[in-house]
Amino acid sequence: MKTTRAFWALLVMVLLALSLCAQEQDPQVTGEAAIGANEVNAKDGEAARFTEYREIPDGLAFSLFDIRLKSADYYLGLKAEDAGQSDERYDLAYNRYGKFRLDYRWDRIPHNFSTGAVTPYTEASPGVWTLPDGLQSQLQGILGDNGTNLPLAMDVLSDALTNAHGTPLGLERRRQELDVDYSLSTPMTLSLNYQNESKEGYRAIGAPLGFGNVIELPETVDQNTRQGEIKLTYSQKNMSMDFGIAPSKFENSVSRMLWDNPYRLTDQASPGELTYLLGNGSGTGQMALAPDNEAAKYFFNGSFKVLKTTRIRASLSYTQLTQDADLLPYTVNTGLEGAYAGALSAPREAADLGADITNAALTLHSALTRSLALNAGYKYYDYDDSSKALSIPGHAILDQNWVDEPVDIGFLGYTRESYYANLAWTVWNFTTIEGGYKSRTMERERADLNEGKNTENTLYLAAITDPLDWLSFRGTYSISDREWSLENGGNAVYPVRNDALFAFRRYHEAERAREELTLDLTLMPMDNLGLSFVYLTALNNYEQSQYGLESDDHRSFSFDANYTLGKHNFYAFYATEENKGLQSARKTTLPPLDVISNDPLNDWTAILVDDTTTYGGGLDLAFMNDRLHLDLSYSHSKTDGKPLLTSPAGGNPDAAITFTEGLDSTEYTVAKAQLIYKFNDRLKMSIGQWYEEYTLDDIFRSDIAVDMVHEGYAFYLGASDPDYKYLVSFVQLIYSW
Amino acid sequence: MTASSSADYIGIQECRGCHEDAAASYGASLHGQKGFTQKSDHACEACHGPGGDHAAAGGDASTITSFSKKTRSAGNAACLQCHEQGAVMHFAGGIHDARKVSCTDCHRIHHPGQGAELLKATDEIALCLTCHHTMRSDLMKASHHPMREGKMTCSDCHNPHGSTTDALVAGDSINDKCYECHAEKRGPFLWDHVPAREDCTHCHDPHGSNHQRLLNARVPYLCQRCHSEPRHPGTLYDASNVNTRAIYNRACLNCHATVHGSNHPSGQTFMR
Repeated sequence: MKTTRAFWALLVMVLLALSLCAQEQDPQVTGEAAIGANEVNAKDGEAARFTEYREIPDGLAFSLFDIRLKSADYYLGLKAEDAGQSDERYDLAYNRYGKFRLDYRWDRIPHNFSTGAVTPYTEASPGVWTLPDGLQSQLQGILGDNGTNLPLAMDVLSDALTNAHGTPLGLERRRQELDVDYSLSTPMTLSLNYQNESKEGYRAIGAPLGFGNVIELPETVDQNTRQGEIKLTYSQKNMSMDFGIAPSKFENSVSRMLWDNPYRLTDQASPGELTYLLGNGSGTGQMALAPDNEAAKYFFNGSFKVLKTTRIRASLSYTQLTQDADLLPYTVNTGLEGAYAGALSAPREAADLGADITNAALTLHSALTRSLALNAGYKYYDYDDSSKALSIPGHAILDQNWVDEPVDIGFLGYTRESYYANLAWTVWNFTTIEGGYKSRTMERERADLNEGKNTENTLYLAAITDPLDWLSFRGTYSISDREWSLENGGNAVYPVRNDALFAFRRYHEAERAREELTLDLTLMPMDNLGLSFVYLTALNNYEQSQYGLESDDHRSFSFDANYTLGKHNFYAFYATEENKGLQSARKTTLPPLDVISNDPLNDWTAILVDDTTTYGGGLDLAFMNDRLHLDLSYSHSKTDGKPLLTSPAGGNPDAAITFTEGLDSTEYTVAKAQLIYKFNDRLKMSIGQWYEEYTLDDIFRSDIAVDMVHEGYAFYLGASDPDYKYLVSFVQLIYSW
Repeated sequence: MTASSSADYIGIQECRGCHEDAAASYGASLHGQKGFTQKSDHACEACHGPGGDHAAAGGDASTITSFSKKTRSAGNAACLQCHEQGAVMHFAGGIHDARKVSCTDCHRIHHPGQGAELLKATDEIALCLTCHHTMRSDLMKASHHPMREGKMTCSDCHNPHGSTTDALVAGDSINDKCYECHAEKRGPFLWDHVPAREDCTHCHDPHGSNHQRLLNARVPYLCQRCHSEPRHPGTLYDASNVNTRAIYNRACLNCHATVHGSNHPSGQTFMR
């Protein structure tokens, strides 16, 4: 089937190319085609991650067909990559020089998550997941309304999970994009862009019922996004501007998910307001998935050379977001009608939500003198909610309980502003020193309440020099200080009700001191040797936050080398990187459950470090007067996730028990060897092997179980992320003309 | 070669007399095609300036604009004569210009380069990595965008020629760029998650991560950087909690599945 599709696709392309050739007197035809075969050998079993975003066919592969026609007037390119595969891509490019340009791309992008997922549920219709009534009825009978005989019910469910059936977990994007430029006259161009992207398949999603019952299900994805842009550009020697409109529409065919409660067939109101016993509550749960939405952007950009060496640029855009999907009812649990008569209704028919985004930027670039340049700019970005107000009398918790808690839904709004100015001074022809200042503010509001304003001021200094042909250096240093207007009042303490954590801050708005340093040295001590070193640090200190994220630091060093000896090429790279976060919190005391403890003994701290080391290299050796090439390459990347958890003894928690295994420690290795033999200028053959290995060391994810009924009242898809080892042998013929 | 008067344009045929290889490769490049004569019919001299003096002086290098002797800024200025529009509008004064990255660091002018962009390297990502080394590590991490598989490139998100948004993001904001491919996250939602609405990078590192879904840190600890409410958000999940739903598999997201925003009337804690 795949081969057939690839054949037809390629045939159409060839015929199209030939017909165009026939119309022209003297087209210059060039191109390349590659066909080959792979033998894919999974050393430790199949793993979806190996083919996460690609297909490696075990057998014949049409890797490439690329034909280019060029004449004095036009260029035509037709290109097919991986034809017939799940990651195939086709490109068509046509350019009538200076007049008309068209690019069309069609691309399939797989996203495979797991090959081993299982579920006891059946999809009755898109997004509706059901269990056999008999199982629900049996468990409801065992549990009654008060959760009696719980161990027996869990045993029955556990047994039922052993009969779970396989379910695919993976998505596929099909994306087509058309770009057209038409030069109406020399200074004026009309541009059109259109994209249509569908996304279909299944991915894992948590679908809880009650406070203790996690159910992992496949989420049905059937979405489509269409977007485009029409733009008119006018460009003269001293000015250029463009304006246009960019609409976008997202549609989701499955906008809600329904799933059965394994422990219950018939609906019932759970007796406790904030407690849940298996067997209480709803026979079904319902979740809202991504709603249809639209956006329309109107924009203008202009660049004006106001003086010989001074340019002013302005960008202005206005975007309208609208989301008017049908709203779901508060709950599908008929048992909650007694608590609130409207529980089975939506608060209003449709969402009626929206936002207006205004973006404006003005920048100035001026060469004040031959050696002094000034840059300055201002940017304004406002996200202004335009939703219709909505008040709700309460809500259903997990379709189990009704809570009378009237809320005026607090829609969001924020305004970002920034301005900057810097001077760049060219000291000698080869050295420039730049100093500048930047200020940013972020002001938030929610439900018309001011949530405070962040102001961040940054000073930065940069030096760029290339005093010798073989030496260049770039260095930048910046220091920032972010303040928050509400530090001592208002909503500054978050969550407001947690008075004990007086210094808890959300890190995206907390006061912060930040330092960044980048050093970049490039050397070419010989014509055939290039060396490059980069050192980078970014240190964030949330100095007023005694709880929450307190610091977040990044450090890295990297090195690249390239060496050429005659026809032989060598390269190597190395990078080491550390990401380190320090955070603190305090556990709820017992009892009461709803109050944060005043006792510092209940504090805990987590230091999470991700250390990554990446290295590799390769060589390309040429023999037999460049007819034979040996390519060898190797790359290895390892991240150690190191958690360090601490808490004082005698509190709750008592002394923390840190993990003995890594958190998200991963390792990825690729080694490849191939021989390329050129029979002549047109035909060459490559033969070789590549080895790829991936390992995951994570105390939770390495071996995801299906059945955790006993430990966590939860069950999962078993969609594990297993280690893999693949060896792929390949042979390929490449013909160019 | 015929003698010409000062500041005269002499045409590519004259140039070819001495610079045969350069003229041939120019003719094969995108710049050498017919349509570009609409912008300038001076061919070589469109960038190098009138060659009359140069020819008259028998090829004296000091009488022609030679970019090997010019500063990077001067070289860029020659390109910007025609290209300072559209996506290149914000180049002058932008971060790459300020750091003295020249057009010819990435593009090949004389010789036919890669694709219509005349790039110097075989692929765009490799070109960017020549300076941005650390991104190589990110691209090799377990959770990544499909870049190493060739389905995305740097310029799908960044405009290397300049932008009014930080990090040369090719959009009015980071989120606006992300929504182009992730329109399902655009909403607005009945219940928006505040940091997600403001900036996707509060929680995600789009370049790559060893944590699932490009997250900046492992859940539940990532969530606990903001959430320390009573009961489970403030709980320490240590080695004694390995088999609890709050940390196993997707931790908090096992239940709070609609964390980007919920359109359910009862979705204020993103469980519906």
